[in-house]
Amino acid sequence: MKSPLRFSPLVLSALRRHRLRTWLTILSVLIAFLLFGLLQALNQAFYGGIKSAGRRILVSMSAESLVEPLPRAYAAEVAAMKQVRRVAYEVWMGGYYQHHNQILYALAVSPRRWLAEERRFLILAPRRESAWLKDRSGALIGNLVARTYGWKTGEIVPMRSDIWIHPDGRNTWPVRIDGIFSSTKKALGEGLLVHYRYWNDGMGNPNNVSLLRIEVSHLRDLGHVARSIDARFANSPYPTRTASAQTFIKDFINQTADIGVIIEDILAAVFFTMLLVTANTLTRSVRERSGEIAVLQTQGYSRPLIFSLILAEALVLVMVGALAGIGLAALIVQGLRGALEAYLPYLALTRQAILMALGLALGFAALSSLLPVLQVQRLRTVDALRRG
Amino acid sequence: MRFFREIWALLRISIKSLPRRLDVVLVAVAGFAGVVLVLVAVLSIGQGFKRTLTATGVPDVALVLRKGTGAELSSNLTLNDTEVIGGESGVAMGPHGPLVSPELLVVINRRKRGSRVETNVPFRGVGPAAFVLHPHVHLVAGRLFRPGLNEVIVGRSASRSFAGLALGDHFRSGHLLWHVVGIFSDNGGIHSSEIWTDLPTLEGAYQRGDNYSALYVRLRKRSDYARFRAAVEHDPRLDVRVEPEMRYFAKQAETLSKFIDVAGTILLVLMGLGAIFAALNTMYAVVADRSREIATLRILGYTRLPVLVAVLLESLLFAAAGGLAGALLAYFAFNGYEASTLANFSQIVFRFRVSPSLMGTGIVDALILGFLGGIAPALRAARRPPAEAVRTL
Amino acid sequence: MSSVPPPAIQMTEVSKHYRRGDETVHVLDHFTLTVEPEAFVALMAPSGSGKSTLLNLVGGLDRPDSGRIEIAGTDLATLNEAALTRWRARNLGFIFQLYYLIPVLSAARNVELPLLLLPLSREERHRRVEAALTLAGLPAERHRFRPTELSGGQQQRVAIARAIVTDPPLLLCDEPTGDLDRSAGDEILNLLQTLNERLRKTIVMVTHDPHAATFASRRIDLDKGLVGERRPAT
Ligand SMILES: Nc1ncnc2c1ncn2[C@@H]1O[C@H](COP(=O)(O)OP(=O)(O)O)[C@@H](O)[C@H]1O
Ligand SMILES: [Mg+2]
Repeated sequence: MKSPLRFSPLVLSALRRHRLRTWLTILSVLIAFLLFGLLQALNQAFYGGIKSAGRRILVSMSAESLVEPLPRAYAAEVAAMKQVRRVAYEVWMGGYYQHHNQILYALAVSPRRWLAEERRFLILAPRRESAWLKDRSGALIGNLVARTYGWKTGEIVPMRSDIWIHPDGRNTWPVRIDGIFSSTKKALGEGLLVHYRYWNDGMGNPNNVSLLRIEVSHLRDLGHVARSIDARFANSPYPTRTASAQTFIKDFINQTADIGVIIEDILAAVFFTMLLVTANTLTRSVRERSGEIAVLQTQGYSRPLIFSLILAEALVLVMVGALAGIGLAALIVQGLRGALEAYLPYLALTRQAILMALGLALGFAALSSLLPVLQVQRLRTVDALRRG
Repeated sequence: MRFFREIWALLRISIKSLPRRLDVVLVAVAGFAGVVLVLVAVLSIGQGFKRTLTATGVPDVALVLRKGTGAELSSNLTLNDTEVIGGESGVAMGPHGPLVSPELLVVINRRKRGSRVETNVPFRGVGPAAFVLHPHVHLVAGRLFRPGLNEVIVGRSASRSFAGLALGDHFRSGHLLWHVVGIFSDNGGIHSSEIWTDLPTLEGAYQRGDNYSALYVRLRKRSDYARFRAAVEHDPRLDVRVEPEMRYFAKQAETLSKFIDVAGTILLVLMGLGAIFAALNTMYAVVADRSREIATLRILGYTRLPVLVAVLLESLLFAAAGGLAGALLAYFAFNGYEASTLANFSQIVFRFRVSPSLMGTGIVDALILGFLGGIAPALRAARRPPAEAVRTL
Repeated sequence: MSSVPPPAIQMTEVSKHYRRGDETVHVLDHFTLTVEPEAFVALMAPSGSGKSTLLNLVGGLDRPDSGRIEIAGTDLATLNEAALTRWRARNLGFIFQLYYLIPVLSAARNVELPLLLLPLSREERHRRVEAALTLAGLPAERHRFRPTELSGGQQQRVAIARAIVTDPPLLLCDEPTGDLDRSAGDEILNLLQTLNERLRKTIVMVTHDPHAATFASRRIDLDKGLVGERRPAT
């Protein structure tokens, strides 16, 4: 069997004919795929957190708005429902350190329940765990926050809150750091956890919570449980809205801006432009060689073979550019990850994105060689020979 | 003179030969158009957002918040604060006493129109002086709410963007039913994204007693601000902070604008590089196509500089055409496009704004790219010895 | 200064080589030539022997490695690139085998191109273009045709009109009939003869065609002494 690689000198010589043009085209493709890679990583940074939320978790909040509380008593009522395995609750502290823009992702939680749910994602000495459980005004913090502010265990952090003001008008919520954990869940590394009772006592015992986190026993119960919770409280002074945790995260992101749509639009524009440029380059190079191609035809090269040669040329151009572009994007993302971990913990170039890029590159090569192939199709050998 | 006649002769040839090289030209123009379209579209988001927030408020109004709070939603003041602040120096007086408006801001869940996304729409309870303190706000349809009857007026943008907020609609929030009796405009400001009712009704609905979020204070003169601020912040009866209303809203635009500026710059640099490569490719092709003409003219006595200028002008011409096309495309596709985003836990509706100056920026950027992509090929065209060009034909 | 006019072309000991890979091609090797004013000289040599190189040197399109080239008393080595270009516009007309007309411009516009370099009014330019085209023998109704709408002979007439429209004393013709059939070629050669006799143009024509050479007043065979031998590069 003869290897199709024996035609490679033909393809390479075509690419070498105008080195500058070849390089410029490869660079254009490189830029397009670099952009693709970076935008995909950004997309992942925004939406990547969705999957990290447990699939069997429901979130219940005030139906009126995000900032309205629910009575803590709801937790017990929901926990009593048959298909519910566990209920945790939390209060969003709205914390910050020194200045409003140094946000602390602080939650007031019931410590035992929180640990029961998250312990498997944490790396934390049991000694620290028990220290926190005993310390009502203590906090556990993620390693990323600790690194950002250089905090050590035992230190007292003068946290302030944007939302919660003590009855006497102060908004300071000082906490002692009882432990610093690292976590396989990236978002947790940014977290700061305090006792629910610390908040509740500080506020004069309103016995409210921001939201309930409900784990159902079986995935299939998810919709049913959500509906029955909302039905149960519909006519109370505090109606609820219950949905899967993933839905909540997605809604929140989509409220910020429909980033996915914007990114797709930009990519479409970029790719369309690049396609045009690459196709044009190929068209020119084929047009310049119409004489040679006609000669090949007189030598018994079939049309399909000639098409394959053109396609191979396009593939080399596009693949070299695409691989370099994606590779560069991967390097950049890798480099940025450390620096941006605190802001965009999910920033990453996923394998899925890379495969998508390769698929796009293939399609891109096929599309951009379409025009020159059509041109050859129309080319009559005799005319081409006469034109020289 | 001769210099310009030479350039003109070269340009006339290139213009006349445009139809013959239409494909190359269109690719070049489309390349520039694509870059400018994306650039202008991205920047128009930031511009529109910034404009909505900077169009909010008037210079002689100050905003009083509880000390330590960053935003209205988290601030908390009482009736007692209103009275003390109303008595401070610098506060303008109206027929019924000091011109101040205590306002309570909450957010309610509303569905975004045409989607299933639940969003947080700001709901503001205002005092009787509100329309004096927010002079941009005026009714455009229906009538004003009557106090105590759960009637609301809805900002024009909110009414368009969120479900169930059209004139005459009733909507349920919590366990109360609200009736939309009017639609108002804020002349492009942020209040267009809000729902308004009277303060006591909202306080009652949300069990806030006589607590509210922020006090808007009309000053006698703009220059009274410093005096007013000093008085309020040093008053031992108060625990509040003061900010000019306009600055408070302008600040809220900062994070998003910065993000868009950074992302836009990275995008511009990368797409710009791509466009330069494409332009280089195109212009080298153009120069190759025209090498015979150029050589002929050089033999006839045409000098180098006009050749360089003419090729560069051609590149700039493509850039200008592409830039203009991209800017116009962006204008027709995105100008006025209404979007909303979350800031401080509530939705702000804003319009993408493709301003003439932004379009100008896009075209200028295209020209810069055209220059960068055209200069090397132009130099090559001008430097090439005509004898060589003629020989290799 | 003597009262005798200087030669139209005086080449003294001119050498020119090209590099091709690691090989040096000596095209001209200490080449000397004198052409008197108002002469019509045919330079005969086979293809690839360096005729075009020679004309390019005379026309200032290329510089010699060594030796001296004087055209009507002007030493080309004393002119810089810009001055040389300007000098070319006033003193030379080029005529090529492949005409080198601009395909998107009409015949008249092509002929006007060199005039744009001179401070002339539009009317004056128009008048001179018409005169040159008429003199070159292009029928008046074809003056607005594009090159592709003209026959080869007519295209060469346009090229000749373009060469003489600024009234330069010297015409350089590089195989002007190489792409024409016999009868069209003869017409062009007759036209060159007329230009030489009536307008007193000095004409240097290079050709490898002995028949074409018979139209000139003087014939120089260059197959010896022009082409240097190939030597390896040092
Ligand atoms: N720019 C150049 N670079 C390399 N070789 C050249 C160059 N110009 C001419 N030659 C070579 O010099 C020789 C003479 O060329 P030319 O003057 O065009 O000959 P002619 O016009 O008599 O056919 C040929 O061998 C040609 O290949
Ligand atoms: Mg020759």
